[in-house]
Amino acid sequence: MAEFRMDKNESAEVFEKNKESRFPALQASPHLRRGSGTRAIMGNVLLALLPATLGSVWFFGPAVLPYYLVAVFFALAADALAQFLRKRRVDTFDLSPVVTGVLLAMSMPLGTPLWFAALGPALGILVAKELFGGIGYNFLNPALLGRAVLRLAFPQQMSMNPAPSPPFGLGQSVDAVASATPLITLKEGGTLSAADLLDSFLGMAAGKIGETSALLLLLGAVWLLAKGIIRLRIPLAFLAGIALMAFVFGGNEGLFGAGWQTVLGHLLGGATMLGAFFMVTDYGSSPSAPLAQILFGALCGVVTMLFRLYSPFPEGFTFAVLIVNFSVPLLNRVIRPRVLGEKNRSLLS
Amino acid sequence: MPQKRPLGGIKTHGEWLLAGKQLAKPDEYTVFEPQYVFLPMLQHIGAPCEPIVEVGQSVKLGQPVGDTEEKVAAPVHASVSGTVKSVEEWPRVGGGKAITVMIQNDHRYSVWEEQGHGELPSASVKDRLAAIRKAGIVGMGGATFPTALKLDRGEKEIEVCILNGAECEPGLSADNALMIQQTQKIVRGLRYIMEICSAARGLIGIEEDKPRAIEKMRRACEDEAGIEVETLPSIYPQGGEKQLIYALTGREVPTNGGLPADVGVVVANVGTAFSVAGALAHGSALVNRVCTVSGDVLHPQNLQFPIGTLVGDLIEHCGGFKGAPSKVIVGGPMMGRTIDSLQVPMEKGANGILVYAQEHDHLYAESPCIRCNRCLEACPMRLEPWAIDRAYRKQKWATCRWLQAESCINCGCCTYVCPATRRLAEKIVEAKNELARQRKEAE
Repeated sequence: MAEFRMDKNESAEVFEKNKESRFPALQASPHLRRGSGTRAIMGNVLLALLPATLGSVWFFGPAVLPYYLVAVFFALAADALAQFLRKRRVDTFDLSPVVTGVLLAMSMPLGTPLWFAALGPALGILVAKELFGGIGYNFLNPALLGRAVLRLAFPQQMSMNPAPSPPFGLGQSVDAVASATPLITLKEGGTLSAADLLDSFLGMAAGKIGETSALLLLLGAVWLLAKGIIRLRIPLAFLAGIALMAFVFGGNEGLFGAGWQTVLGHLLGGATMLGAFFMVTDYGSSPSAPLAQILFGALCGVVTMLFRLYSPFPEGFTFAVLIVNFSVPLLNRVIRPRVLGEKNRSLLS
Repeated sequence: MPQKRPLGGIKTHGEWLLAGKQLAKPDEYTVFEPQYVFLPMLQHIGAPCEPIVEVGQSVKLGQPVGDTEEKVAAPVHASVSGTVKSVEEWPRVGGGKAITVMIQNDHRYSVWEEQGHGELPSASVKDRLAAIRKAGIVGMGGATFPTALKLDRGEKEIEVCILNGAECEPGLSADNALMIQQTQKIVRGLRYIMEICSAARGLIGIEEDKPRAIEKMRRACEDEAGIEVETLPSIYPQGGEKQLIYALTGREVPTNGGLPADVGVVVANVGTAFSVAGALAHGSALVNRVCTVSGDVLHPQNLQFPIGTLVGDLIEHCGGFKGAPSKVIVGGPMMGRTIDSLQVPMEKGANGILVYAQEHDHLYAESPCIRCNRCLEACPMRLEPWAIDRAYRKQKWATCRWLQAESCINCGCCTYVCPATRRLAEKIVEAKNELARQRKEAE
């Protein structure tokens, strides 16, 4: 081959040096990457949670901060422990435990022992996530599992709902006595006034640390949607499921008797908003085909309402979504999008 | 005619990895003359040709140097005039080797005029198809399927012939330059293709980021009955055959081995149409093509070169490397193939050379899938790449089949968008090959 060397006149110096070189092993296409990683996604979720997080400080005071810190610390510790036990490298640290920790802190009532905030995320991450193979393989939402365990183990403390006392918890005294949340009012057959609903929307109603303000959570949701991190399908189906169930079965005078206040109360109250945009949209524990996503979201909404209306828990969201999570592997197995050019295929192929 | 928005796909406009590597003159191409050409006997999908020249023999431009009796094949012609220096195995793009005829260029470009070369075929479909085969024309968008076979519609009715001028691969502008410089000939080629397929309609699909090509094509088609130029959104892979047909006609090519002809459509690349016009109007064989040389070379540009020119010669002509190269790709950045040596020839389907100087290793380290669904949203075939990837790694072949892994067109969108930088496209292609192997075994 040597005799067929190329002419060497005027070629650039670098070319001469590299002309005969062998390049690294052949690589499969594509040779472009968008280059935005898992960490960036999780970082954006944290940014989206920021308004509600800061809001919780405004509503309840600096006393909420230890909950966030402890929850995040133990989430990270649990993740590191699992990585160590599974002999994985910890340096691919992707911020997802931080999200789990923050979500758990947000769903605790102020006044519970701090070690709850340690136990919840640790359990959620070790049991719901790492036992099943780590991120992406969790068919249960880790934050919700931690929350469910806490609620079952400590029903009394976990169902407290302190009233906010802005600014920074200085307004009125924050006592740990359970106040009536909008959902409890509805559960007890009461009705909500427009003022109650406005409180719910702004975050002035009693509730958990980070769940009270629908407005601040929606701000975060807009960020997630704008960044393309979540799509509207699941949250809308979820909210539609809740609204429909509330409208049909939520009234005090039989079917279809619910007023708009009741429907809105269910939409704004409890964990609905936090759940709709930050929990049922969890990647690992939701299905992937668009149709399956709509079914999943609606099912989450419907089961949540079953709990709220017919169980002793006015707050059924946690258990409802965990139960529906179990259907995700099945949904992924039987529903997939119709491939371009595919014919004669029934809905459930 | 309905125009459909593409399914999935990605916007690569302003792609950061290609920033600052654009061509100064994307609307033009210059001619390059190499000292040697290396003509592999296999430059198409199908059976390889047999060399029909001997070492030491002098050959003329357009003289066949390799041919075969096999049906799925296309002959290879001398792309320069000169002397055959060797006939031996030589590496090809994509790994592997092929018997290759090496010709030393005498720079006289004396044209081969024996055995009826240069004679024009009659207007009968059979003669024209034979002339296209004789000219060695294959799909020049990269698929390299023999064009004579593609245009042989048999019993099928063809209503629409589509010219693919989308050129959706980011950074390539060879088709763009060809459409601007050779507008008339391309339209003429389309007319021939329509006549061969007895199709009444012709469509030329061009992405909206090529306004000059669209304008020139539109003007050239003003008096052409039945031919229209359609503007397509610049979304990769708009130029994929199935995607193009869907965008322009709303028709879907059936899965499981369906062909465009099944929905009454034939698609050809603009370069192919240009070559068809050359073969039928001038009797010339496919000996030249245009490609884009870009990336970290001194003078990125479009070049017309004799087929068989070495990659290294083209890079040298463009002023050499800008910084030590880490990767050289033949084709575009999304579907091109890396080469491990510069001494491989550019074949009939090679539409570009892209050089990366910088290492981007961190972009290729896989991390766990977080099930974000971006791959599903990007897939232009509406597959679930993450699920196929998972099933493939667990060797669950039935699941791979149910997920339609075989419909993958290997456009690479899934890998491109993956935040965990998983090599989804690569794994899906492997799954696809395994499924094909299993099916062959079962038969």
